[in-house]
Amino acid sequence: MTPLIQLHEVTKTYRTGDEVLTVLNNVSIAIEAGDFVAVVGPSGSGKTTLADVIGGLDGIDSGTVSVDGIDLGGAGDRALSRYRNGHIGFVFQSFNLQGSYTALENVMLPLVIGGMSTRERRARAQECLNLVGLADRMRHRPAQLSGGQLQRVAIARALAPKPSIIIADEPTGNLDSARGAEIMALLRELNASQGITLIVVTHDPNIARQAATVLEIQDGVVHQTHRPSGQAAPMAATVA
Amino acid sequence: MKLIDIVRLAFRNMGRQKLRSALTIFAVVIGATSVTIMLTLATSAKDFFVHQFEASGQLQQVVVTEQTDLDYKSAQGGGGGGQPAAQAPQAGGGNGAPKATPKLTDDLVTKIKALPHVANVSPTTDVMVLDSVLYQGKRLQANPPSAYEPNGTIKNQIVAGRDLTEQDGAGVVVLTTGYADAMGFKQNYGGLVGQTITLRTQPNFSGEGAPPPVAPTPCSGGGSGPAPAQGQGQGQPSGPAPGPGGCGPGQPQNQQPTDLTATVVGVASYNAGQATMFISLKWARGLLEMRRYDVTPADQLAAQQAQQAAQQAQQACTQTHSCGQLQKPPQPRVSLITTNQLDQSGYRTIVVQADSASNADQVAAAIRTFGVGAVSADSFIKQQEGIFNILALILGGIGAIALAVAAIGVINTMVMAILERTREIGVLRACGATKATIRRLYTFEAAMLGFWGGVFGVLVGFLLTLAANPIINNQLQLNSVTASNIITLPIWLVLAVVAATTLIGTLAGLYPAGRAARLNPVDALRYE
Repeated sequence: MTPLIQLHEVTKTYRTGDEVLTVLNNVSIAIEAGDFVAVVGPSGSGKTTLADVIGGLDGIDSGTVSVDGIDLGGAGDRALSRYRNGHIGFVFQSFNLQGSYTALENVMLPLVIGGMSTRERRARAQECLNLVGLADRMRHRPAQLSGGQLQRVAIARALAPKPSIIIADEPTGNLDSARGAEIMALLRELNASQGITLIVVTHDPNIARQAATVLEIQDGVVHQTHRPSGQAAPMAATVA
Repeated sequence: MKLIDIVRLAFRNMGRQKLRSALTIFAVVIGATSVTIMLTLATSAKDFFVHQFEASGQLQQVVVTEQTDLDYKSAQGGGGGGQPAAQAPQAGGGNGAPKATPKLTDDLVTKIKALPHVANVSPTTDVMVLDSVLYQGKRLQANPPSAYEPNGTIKNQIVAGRDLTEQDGAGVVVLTTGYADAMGFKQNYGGLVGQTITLRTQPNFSGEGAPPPVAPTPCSGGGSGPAPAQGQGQGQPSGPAPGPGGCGPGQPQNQQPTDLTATVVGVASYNAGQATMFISLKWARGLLEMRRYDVTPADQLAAQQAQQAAQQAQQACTQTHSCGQLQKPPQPRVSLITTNQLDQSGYRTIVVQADSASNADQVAAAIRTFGVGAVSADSFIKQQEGIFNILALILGGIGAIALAVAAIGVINTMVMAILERTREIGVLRACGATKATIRRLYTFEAAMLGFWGGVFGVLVGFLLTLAANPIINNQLQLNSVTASNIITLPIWLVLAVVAATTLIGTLAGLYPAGRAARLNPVDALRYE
């Protein structure tokens, strides 16, 4: 079986003035479909950049990135946008919900962008909010929701277009540990029950411990470690 | 993303910063209102002008003059409303003076009538014989009446009573509101209709209505040489200084002015309240008649011959010294001479009505082949329309300055909005919105600011025209102009202004929307 995500000799540099910073240095990794991947490393090591490259938000200098058979390096804006809309669900540390929209409208956003009909997207958004346990909060606006609820809305939004990959960048960073654990449990549940490949960028070792695959980045070099299945971290047990 | 969703989202975004959007729209409203008002004024003025022309039948008119180089207005005599001019420029004063140009005669009228596409012809003249107009103790200065054939070629703008008809002859006048106002009939022009006024002539008037001239008493003493019988303008016979006891040829006759009575059948609006009157050509012909006792050229010749014969006889008698009772040479014979100024100087103008406005130019060209001047209103209207168009451009340009400022407001608003929504744009991009979608979204929002600004601007402009019309109607009524609600907002202007503001909004949105589209989603998502 070919891996869902394949990076081959990917190099990505940032230029700040005269200084050239190599964030990804000849990185080659492969991630199987349905995997739970934690991306760890010190601040500024390029964790987010790696996630953005896989998510089709950021380009690369050299190498190839292929996701589900799509060559992201050679794709134009349209193709990349379609790829993000159909394959990727993003979850951010700061939720990034539209303050003026209700929870339902926020979840519908990627479906609107995808061109889904009004009735279908409403039904799908309701379904997703049900799934994250916010069936009774659909008409609430972000200001009326707690941090944990906000992140659930964000997860529902990521989930709405039925993506094959959810990329969560520090999803618990703005939450207390109990809410954080709940969110991680939800994400793991989606990973397990729906087979969605989960990529979590984190510097929380507890989260990293839950992942089946850990990508550790340091100085632009990625070390990939696989954990035998069933060897879940004790954190998960406490949450469940 | 579907277009309908882009529209919905843009609308929603516009409503997020309500005050800012409202203020931006307000700026566009000011611009749109000013453009609307300026262009409405310009187009209404033009329409009013053309309409006034149409109403008076002037679009079909060709004015024939002796001079071949006059433009339409000068040919008309500087008047405003389609009537023959009340004030004759040089032509009237020059009656009787020799002319290099051909006279406008009845012959010419006949020739013009025979031309194709000529529907009606009316010669005009000014009657320079009146001194004053008297009505119930009021004495008003008489401006020379304009006379024309009242056959429908020339139409007055009647505000009370009726216009002149072909049946009208002596003693029938149509007064302008200028006179009516002076006679105390302001706002009650109907009251003047049917009233009798007195027209006092200048002294020496000898036309229709004047007492017949008295034959001079024969002179007893030796008279001076016979004066040449040469008529001058105003019908005043020339001659030596007049005196009551004068005798001989050239003696002025009928020193007293004559009072003519006339019935006012109608009151017409004319040239912004200028006081004048209209009479039929029939009567004018009578008034312009000049009757006087004078020496006819034949009699003068006979007298000269008689004198020569007498001189010869004198010489003969001095040579032969056999002078008997020499006969005194006879005075030249004086007889009643009737002339008409109209025949002497011709008509002032001939107004020709073509069968349609489009044939007016053709008729004018045909008339010019007779060696006289002929101008149609067509060229004049075109020229005037050109002036109005320039006016519209200037006024519209002034309004457009406000729109340009509003456009900067739109740009500013959109740049601010995009700065505020940077993260949001990042989210949209992360959720799969293309650059084109972002660009469309923000361009559309800017276009909406322009659109609503245009809609409200036109609405305000419309309300202002509603408010302005009663005021202008009042002014028109005061000036006795038979028109109302002349300020109209044409539908094309409504559409054009809304389209223009929408376009301006769109153009103003291009730059901010382009910036939004170019935002790097990675940076946008982490923008603080």
